[in-house]
Amino acid sequence: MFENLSRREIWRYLGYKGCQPNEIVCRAVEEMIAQVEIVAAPRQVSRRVTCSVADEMVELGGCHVHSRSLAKHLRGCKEAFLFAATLGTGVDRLLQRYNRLQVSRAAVLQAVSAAAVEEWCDLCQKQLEDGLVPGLYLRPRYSPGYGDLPLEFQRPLLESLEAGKRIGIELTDTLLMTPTKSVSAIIGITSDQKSCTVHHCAACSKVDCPFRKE
Amino acid sequence: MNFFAELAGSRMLFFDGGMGTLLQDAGLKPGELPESWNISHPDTVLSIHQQYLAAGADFITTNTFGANALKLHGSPYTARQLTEAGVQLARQAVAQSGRKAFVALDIGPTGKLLKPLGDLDFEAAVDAYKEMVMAGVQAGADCCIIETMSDTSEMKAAVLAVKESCSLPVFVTMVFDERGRLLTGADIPAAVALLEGLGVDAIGLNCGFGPEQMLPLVDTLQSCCSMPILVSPNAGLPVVVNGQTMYNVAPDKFAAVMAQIAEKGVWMVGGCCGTTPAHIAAEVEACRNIIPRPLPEYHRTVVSSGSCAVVLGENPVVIGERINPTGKKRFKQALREGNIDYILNEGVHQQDCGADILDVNVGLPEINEAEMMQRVVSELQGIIDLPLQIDTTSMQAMEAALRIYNGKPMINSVNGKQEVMREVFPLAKKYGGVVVALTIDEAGIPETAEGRLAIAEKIVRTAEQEYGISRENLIVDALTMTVSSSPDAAEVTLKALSLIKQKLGVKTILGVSNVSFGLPRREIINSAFFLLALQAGLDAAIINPASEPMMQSLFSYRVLAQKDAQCSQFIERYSQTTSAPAATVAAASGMTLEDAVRRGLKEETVQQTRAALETAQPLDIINDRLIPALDLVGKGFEKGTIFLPQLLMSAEAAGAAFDLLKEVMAASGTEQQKRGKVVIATVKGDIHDIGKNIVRVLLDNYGFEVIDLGKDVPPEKIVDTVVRENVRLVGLSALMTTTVPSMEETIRQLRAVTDCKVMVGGAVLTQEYADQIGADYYAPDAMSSVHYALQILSPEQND
Repeated sequence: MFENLSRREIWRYLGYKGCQPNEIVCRAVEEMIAQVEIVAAPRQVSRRVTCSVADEMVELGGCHVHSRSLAKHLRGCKEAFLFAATLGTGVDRLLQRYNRLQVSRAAVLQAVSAAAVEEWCDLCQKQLEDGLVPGLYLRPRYSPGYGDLPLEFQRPLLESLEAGKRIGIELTDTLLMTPTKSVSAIIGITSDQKSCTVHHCAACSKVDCPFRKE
Repeated sequence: MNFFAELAGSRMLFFDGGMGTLLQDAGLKPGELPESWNISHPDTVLSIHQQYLAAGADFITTNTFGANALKLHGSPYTARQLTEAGVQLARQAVAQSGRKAFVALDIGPTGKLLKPLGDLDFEAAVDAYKEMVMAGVQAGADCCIIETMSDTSEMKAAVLAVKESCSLPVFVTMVFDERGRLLTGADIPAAVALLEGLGVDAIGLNCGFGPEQMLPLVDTLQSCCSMPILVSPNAGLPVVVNGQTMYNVAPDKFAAVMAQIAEKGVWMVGGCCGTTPAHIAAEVEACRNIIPRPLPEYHRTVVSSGSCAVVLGENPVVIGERINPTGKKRFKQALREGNIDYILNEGVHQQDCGADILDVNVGLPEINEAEMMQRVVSELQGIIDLPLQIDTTSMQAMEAALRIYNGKPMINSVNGKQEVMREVFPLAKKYGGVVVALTIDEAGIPETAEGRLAIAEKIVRTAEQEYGISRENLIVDALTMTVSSSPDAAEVTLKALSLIKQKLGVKTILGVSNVSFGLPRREIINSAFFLLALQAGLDAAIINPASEPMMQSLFSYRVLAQKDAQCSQFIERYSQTTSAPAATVAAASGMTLEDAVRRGLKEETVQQTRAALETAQPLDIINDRLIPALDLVGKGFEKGTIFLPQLLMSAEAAGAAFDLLKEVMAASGTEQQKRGKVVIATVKGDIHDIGKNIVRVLLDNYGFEVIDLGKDVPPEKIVDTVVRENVRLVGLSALMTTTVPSMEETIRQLRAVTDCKVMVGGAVLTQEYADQIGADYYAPDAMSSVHYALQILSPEQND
């Protein structure tokens, strides 16, 4: 499912800004895509909940969170999907192997799997959107840690999805997700199609991020 | 005999159904801890138990699924309080019912992923579970059910916690996906091997699916499990209606499929999410009169890793022998330096060559073998999914490894000496494993086949009668002796092997290469002897899988003995005509060493280095050619004309050349002057360590002695290492804002005891942030950390 991953996106993650890597690096990218294809076990879980937005508070299916940026992002949404997805532990194991034994491959695999998990999320999101009645659309994914949405929101978000039991995402004490190639997010449901076209980079306040898309 | 051994199989047994769904119906709010209701709403919990008893359940499960200390984020209650209250309520319900029913202490996942993939220590998981189990036992639980498990390592921690706290029966049920795998990768045979090895009382499936979808999984489970089976599905697949998760399979439909499951030979049935007392009542009604079928007895000799099982006896297997310091200078040095990567490389290489199992021996008098063994086993399991063979004479090392081993290992070894059996068998019984039994005892190695058979017989008898270890968990080594010193050595070994197999019905193993000691071209004899041993019925060979003649014997044997259907394995291995890699062509076109490094061509770089050695000294090659080539690549990286992957490939190519040169220098007694020690670590709480690893490779290249402490490293360990090794530079990495405080704490602790310099890096760090937490230097990229290290540790060489 990852054979069509955007090579451009992978190169971007590897730091190539607008230029193509040499042949040896390109070959390594292809090798890692093939390996991710074998070891990845993509899974996802989502839940459609009610959503109400005030100035700085958002209520999602009975769960309240304080965040001005999320409130702005979800403005006008009456419902939202809580969402989590992962490539599973196989990719982490492979990353671990290359991290120990061949770091150049680890760097490439890191980029490939980052692109792969985004691709997987895009696919899931498209399926969610296709399941909506005509006239409803999905906003870009918004994750804990974006803007002022606290990372602490990971715990209630993943718990309400039973993400541990269902797809194997657990949190470390420092609120990092394991397996590492995982995404958690809130996806607003709206009838305003225009509000859905912004890439999620635009919603992030880290404007000096080297991977930021304009 | 515990109550369960008597009861199991005498009639169908019934577990209760869902708890969480009923609590939600009674008003449990999203986010509220269900177990807290044991104290805040005891009547509701009690009433649910009563309803299940009335429905006919023989076992009621306490409301303690998540009552472990690791999961109680911010709860006002302790694990002990919640567990005690939960067990008491179940006890009370049973007492009031007047029925003969049993209280099962419910134990769920910790909610954390264990190391090496997550951040939870194995022993921390064991401790958290023990706290629960002890409270539950004291409050009067009759048995323990470890359920909804999706990680073999965590299951092992829970089972050990139960076994080390009480002697109650323990059942384990797991959640498999539609392909029959746990979320962390184990398939059904691997999980069963582990659990049977640990000696649990029943194994099963719960949650995840409705009964229909579980049917094929039950078949797979039954095809490898000799224990009573328990199946507790959900009431169908979850559907979300108005934000609520619902399960829609009605009681009668549920019960009809459960009857099919029971007819297959499943002895215990219950229900999980979405099932209600009505489901259980219907299930009891539908299954009550089914007579439990006798359990299958497989008598398989099986070992497992965290993901797969290897069955011995069906097809001869290769146990890679290379992770062993005996007679290997570089291996010994790697052990002394704690250079685990070297060992991991040996493991990966053997896997690539076709090993099925890896022997692990790290015994060296001057190191702490138990610590090293545990570390190597854990790290190998983090990156390789082959089962391991724990090879040591130190019981401390053996237990340390068996404890954390994720799966059912091979244990190397026991022999006919009473003292050794007394030490090894209890460990094998407790942790599970297939034990290699050497046919040697107090009187030495018998010279005749019959003598070796007699020792094997003694070992089998002792294992079975005194330790309850059945013979399928032994694999006998008839011992290969050297033909050059006793001409009939090979014949005796082969005869003993056949005899032992025939008379005792056990599997056999041999270390093959001893046979040729003292002869030239040893592989010729070894591979011939190997073939004879295979013909005599050898099940496992401890050999070097990189030895092609040995593997040729094996693959040929498999074809000739009809163990390779359609010769497919043979064809797969030998039909590829390996075309010469492109790099070799480039070599002919006059590529220089510098070119090879710049382009990141490892083999090419090594070839060119060999060529350079014909006219130059190793040190000159390093200083005049390799380092300048690397500098050039580094400068390109800084200018933005070369990118990270190329930088790393160049570094690795140069690294291979350094390795070669080091060997040459070691042989001639010279040594490259190291540039000083640098400790690097990814700080406590952080598990993303690629940045740190990149720095390691580059510092290595530049001749620094890098002490890599890994990821998620506590401040104390960093401080200890810095002090003990008298280190003047530390590099710390952190990826996330949440782990920067732990970087700050590490710096604080370092400042208190040493004046070493600290450089920091990582995605969220900035110069400002680095200043704020008191670092000496902010390294925005990998090359900058090299420059800073040069500046601090060898200022004269930094241009």
